[in-house]
Amino acid sequence: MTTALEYAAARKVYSRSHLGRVTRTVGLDGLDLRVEKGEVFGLLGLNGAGKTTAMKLLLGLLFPTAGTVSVLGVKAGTDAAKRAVGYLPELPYFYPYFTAAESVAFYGRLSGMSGAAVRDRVPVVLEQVGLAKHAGKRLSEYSKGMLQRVGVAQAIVHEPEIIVLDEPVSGLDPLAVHDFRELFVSINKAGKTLFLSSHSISDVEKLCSRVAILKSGRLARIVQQAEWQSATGGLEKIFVDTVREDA
Amino acid sequence: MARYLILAAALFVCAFAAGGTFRPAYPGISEIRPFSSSGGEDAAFLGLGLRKLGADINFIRLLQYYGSDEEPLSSSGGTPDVPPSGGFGYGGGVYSEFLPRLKHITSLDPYFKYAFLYGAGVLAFNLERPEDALAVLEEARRSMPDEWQFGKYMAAIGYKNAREPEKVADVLDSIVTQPGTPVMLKQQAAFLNKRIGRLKRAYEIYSDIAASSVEKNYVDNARRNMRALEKYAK
Amino acid sequence: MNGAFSACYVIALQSFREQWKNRFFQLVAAFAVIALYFGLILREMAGDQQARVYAHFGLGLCELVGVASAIYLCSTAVIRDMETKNIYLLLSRPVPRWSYVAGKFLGLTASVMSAIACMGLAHAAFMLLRHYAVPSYFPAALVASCLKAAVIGALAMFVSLFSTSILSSVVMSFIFWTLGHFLSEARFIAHKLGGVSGAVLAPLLYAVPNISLFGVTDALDSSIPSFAGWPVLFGYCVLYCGACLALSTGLFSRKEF
Repeated sequence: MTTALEYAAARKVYSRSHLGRVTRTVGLDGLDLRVEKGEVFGLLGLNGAGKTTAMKLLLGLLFPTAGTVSVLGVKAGTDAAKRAVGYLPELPYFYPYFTAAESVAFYGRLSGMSGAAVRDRVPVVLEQVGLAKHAGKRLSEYSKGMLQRVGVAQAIVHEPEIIVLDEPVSGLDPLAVHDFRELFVSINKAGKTLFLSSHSISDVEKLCSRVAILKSGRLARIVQQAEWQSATGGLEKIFVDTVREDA
Repeated sequence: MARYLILAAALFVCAFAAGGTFRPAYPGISEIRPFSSSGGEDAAFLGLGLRKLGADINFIRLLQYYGSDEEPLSSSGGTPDVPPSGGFGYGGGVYSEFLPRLKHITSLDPYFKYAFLYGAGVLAFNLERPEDALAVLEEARRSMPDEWQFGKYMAAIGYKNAREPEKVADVLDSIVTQPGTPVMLKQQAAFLNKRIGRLKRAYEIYSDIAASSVEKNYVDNARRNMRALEKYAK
Repeated sequence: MNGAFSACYVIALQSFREQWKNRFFQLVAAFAVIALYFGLILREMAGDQQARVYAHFGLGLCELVGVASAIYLCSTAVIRDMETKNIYLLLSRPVPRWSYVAGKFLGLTASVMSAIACMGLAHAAFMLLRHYAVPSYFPAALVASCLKAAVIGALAMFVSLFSTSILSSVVMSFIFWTLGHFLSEARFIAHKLGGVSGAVLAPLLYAVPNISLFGVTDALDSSIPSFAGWPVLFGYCVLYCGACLALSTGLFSRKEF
């Protein structure tokens, strides 16, 4: 099996009812997408295009209205699928009274790791994300960049096959962004599949081998790395032209 | 969702079968005899599960009420140990709210033994209202049929009405050694024993009051009497 | 299944530790201990009934603080995880929804029970310092308060999953708690009402917890035996909490985030 993630005619409609009136909003409209193992795959789109919806369908946080979503051939949202995925949401929240080590250990245990495995793995992961020196500090004392590193640590502690990253470098300073890019490259080199969404086109360009552009819940275009590297204006021009078509 | 509803329904039914029909052996809100406009406060105490604390707070209010001046002592003048007329102890006067307040307390907590004993003692020996005292003790016997002290108190009141102080002293003597006897009744027993010449017994009861009570007036009075009766202590 | 129970245990332990590390929780417990100390003033007015009054005051305070904490914590637990989006990090993992709900409830209830135990110990210590005998029903009363907090906490968690705000959830839970003390009267009135109102109200009242069952102080400090027995109290607590958690899981299982 070479497919890590697959969306087959995936559709998500949000229904909100208020005083008897039902409002329906289409979040995803028949998405067909396949991500191969070992890829670094990017998801681009304007606000409300469906990027976060697509990610949440993978994780079982949302249920598809139609179509299927699968992870390593298994239906998304099942325990087997969740074990294979690590997730870093946008602006993750952690209980402020715990240390980084305690928090990462907690999420490791929830991912099915044994106590002994967690005890061995947590220091390794914190070293990997550059937090070894701060492991004993409470998270309330952490900066935004440090919290984001904790977020990456909890996403990889259980050594998942696939790591889903939603706006991983949002709000970080340039040095932190550089460090994160290096970290993602090293994770990918270890054979992991990365599936990330970002508003930062330059970061996506540097990291990804393929990019999907979503527009109004639909897949507008898939762009290969070779294509944007040879295009005038790079990925940004391709993106702008795609989202502006028929606007 | 359906399976969770079925499971929940089954568990609710089992819970109800286990304890859903339990009723405590206390009067419900509609059976509480209110005092003044205490209905809202009573509902709050019961609603918060603080029935006994409610009874305690109202008992404190009863003590404060009874401790206040209701009417001045008569012109014949009395001292704390010698009432103005009739009665066996001080604290006489008109306390019209005493009985309603007491009834309110005992309907909140029908097992508040001390309140029954204290209230009946005040009514019988201080306020010269033996019929009210007997009614209170009857209610106490209905709530606590195994408590023999209430019957003894009723006998003591009967002897008081018959003006037989020796027999009253005998009955009270058998009660004052029991834990939870109100100090006011111990005071009555000591005074009676002193009056009928049982000075050694009076000294013993005053010693017990001085050692066990926290009420300053009673302790001071007991110590004063102990000094006066010291030579009869042996 | 092992994994599900393990996840439940991990979440329960984390919730318990989170509460005790939370400064607000520590402040509430400290406040209760201070209030217990100042309750000694009340006893000064109680004549020879000081020990009784102070015992009832302390037990009442421990229970009120415990139940209020249970209502607040269980009403806000899931809502707070949803608002902070911490729920993403939890449910994106192989954690069954029932594990999350049960784990949260067990951890929060354990923290409330431990707080009640601490307050009870402080209360007993203050009593002994004043040379009052600790009543024989004291430990039983604390255990009953813990069970009461568990029952109302489970109900609060269920209510929080369908109410529109934390405030409405707390208020509704508080209403159910006070209604639980007047259950027999309320059922009598519902039956007397008749008609549509009675038909709607009567079954609902059978779902309200019978809080008077846990009035152990009242039961053990009376001369008429009215204590239902520990098997009944524990059994009722487990069954009622189980029912509320089943409903909570049912509501939670279809929630999307």
